[in-house]
Amino acid sequence: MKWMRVIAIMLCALMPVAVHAHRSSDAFLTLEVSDRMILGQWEIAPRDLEAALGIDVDGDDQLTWGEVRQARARLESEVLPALTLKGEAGYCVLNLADLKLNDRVDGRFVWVEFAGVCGAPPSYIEIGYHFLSAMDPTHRGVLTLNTEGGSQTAILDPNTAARRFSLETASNWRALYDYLLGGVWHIWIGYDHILFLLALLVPSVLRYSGSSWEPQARLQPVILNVLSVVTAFTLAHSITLSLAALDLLRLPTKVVECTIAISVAVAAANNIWPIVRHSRWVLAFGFG
Amino acid sequence: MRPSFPRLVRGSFLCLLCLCGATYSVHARPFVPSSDEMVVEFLPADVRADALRRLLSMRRTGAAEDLTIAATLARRYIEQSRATADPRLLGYAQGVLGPWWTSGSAPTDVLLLKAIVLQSRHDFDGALLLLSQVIERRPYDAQAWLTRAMVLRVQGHYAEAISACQQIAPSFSAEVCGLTIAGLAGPLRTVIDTMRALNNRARQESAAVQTWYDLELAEMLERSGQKSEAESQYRAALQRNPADPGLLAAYADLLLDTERYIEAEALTAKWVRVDALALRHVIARHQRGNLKNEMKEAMADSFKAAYRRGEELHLREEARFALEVEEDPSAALALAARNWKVQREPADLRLLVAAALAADSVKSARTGWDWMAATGLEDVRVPNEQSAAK
Repeated sequence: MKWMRVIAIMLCALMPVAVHAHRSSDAFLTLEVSDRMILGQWEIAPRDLEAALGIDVDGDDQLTWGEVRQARARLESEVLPALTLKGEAGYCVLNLADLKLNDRVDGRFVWVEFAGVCGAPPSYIEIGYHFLSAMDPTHRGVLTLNTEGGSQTAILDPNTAARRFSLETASNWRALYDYLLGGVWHIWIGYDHILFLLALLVPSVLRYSGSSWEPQARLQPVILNVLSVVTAFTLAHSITLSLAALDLLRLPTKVVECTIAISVAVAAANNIWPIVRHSRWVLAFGFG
Repeated sequence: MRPSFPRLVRGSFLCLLCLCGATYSVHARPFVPSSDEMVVEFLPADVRADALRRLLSMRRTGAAEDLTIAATLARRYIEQSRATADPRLLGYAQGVLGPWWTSGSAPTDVLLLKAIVLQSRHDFDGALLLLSQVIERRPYDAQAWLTRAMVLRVQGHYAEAISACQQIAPSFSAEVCGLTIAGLAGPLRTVIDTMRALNNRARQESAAVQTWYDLELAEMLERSGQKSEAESQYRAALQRNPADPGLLAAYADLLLDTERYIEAEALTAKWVRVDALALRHVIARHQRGNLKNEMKEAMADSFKAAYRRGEELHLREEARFALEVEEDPSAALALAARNWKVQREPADLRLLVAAALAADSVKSARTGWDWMAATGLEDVRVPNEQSAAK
């Protein structure tokens, strides 16, 4: 239907471009190395592409998606070579795969997807980054380098020589140890966590007799109780944090903060007027 | 018997689920626009990289380097960067001066332009070093002396700054240079009178110099407590130069100080591309309770991006953001104290004292009060010891 297309185009043209503050020039380079293959995304500010190539061909001071698309060949021949990746088997061959747009907090970026093939699986990679080196020496590339072993970040200066990054994976034990430390630290610095757990753990050494709390005589139920509460909390909290870290779930800070306060209050109230007596792990899981 | 699932917990779960449903959002992913007409970005109309791109391609083909052309272009980028507060243009200026930027034996013109770029990046010591080299070669360079005076003034070295002003051959700029520093280091009243008497002469000057004069005078009036006089000065100045970021920021501050948040929000709405004005906009919205989360996030992200680059030129803005928007006085004080080591203008002083009092640190506030006592700086906007004691 032609008129629908027209409306769609009009809507697109009318769509406001969010206005973001002037910043110094940053591009974001993400590389994912697996075996001989490198998948890359290079997010470049439209203004920087314009500066490098002059792609506003109709000179109307507006960069349209069509103008970006038309510049694809020049992007591949003039921009992509400003990035070199070299392993022990020599330079990896880079090919432009796709062009998209990506909305970041700091504005709309052109998303340049490329694929690289290296002669052999590299154990290190030398990254040469020279985009805008003559035009804007203050340009920087913000690098995230992902391998199976983990992630590294660096700031690339277009006027310095290639930098070498090791891709050797750290040992799994080391990673486990790091995660363990990270977990302890996370719980330790958040006194809300401690407060919530304590409120749930206090009655672990007690037994509710129908009208009042009495000391638990045997050790086994105490240990089981503590374990169930702590494990439930750990599991649930890991799920929540993973969801948040992977950006699958985003809750407004206000709601989260307020729920945390409610959770501590609920846990404490439960000790005075016990509703959940035996299965406190349910509370721990729910609010975790 | 197992207890029934308690109502309270069930209620909380339901509540949480509803909230999840309401706010669940998948993070934006890269996308392919459906139409070629979609505007990806509006480009600044008057300052483009085109001239620089042509120059660079000439350089690549080995065409002779003409310093005059390069210096003129660099100067234009610097001026435009001032007028628009766009840091990319400073990068272009550095690009224009590329072949000479790192060379030890740069021509004097390049040294001067480089000093101005460093000043804009708040590398004050670096700028002073270059300026003294320029002055050694050209003892009568007004631009060099004026820049030197302004850098020393920001650092709070008033006596040296005044003597730098005195090295400039008698002119309107030389006079204003001396007066603005005299107005910081001593009784404000008489300086204001002298400044006012210069009004007719100011109107013979270039737009940039007029704006400089207007802004200095308006700020003096504000510091002396003459708010309405300051306001009419700002308004008249904005009629002459409606897009000057410095003027807009100072006037927005006056509006914020007098709790005219709606006006402050409206004044800055068009200018959120300029970091300093985006900050005023965010503060006004925060005060009115209509600050959008993504605006706050973008602001916080811009500070993070600067740190990533190793820049520290937004300490003043960051401290103010922490104090007035995030309402985190101890973070604000730490930032304001770090800023105070680099910059010592009245705005920095006020921020230091306000953050210190908000964080209950009389000791840090005293740093500011002692400074006022030692220099003779007057500013009614800085909370004083008596009002703080109450």
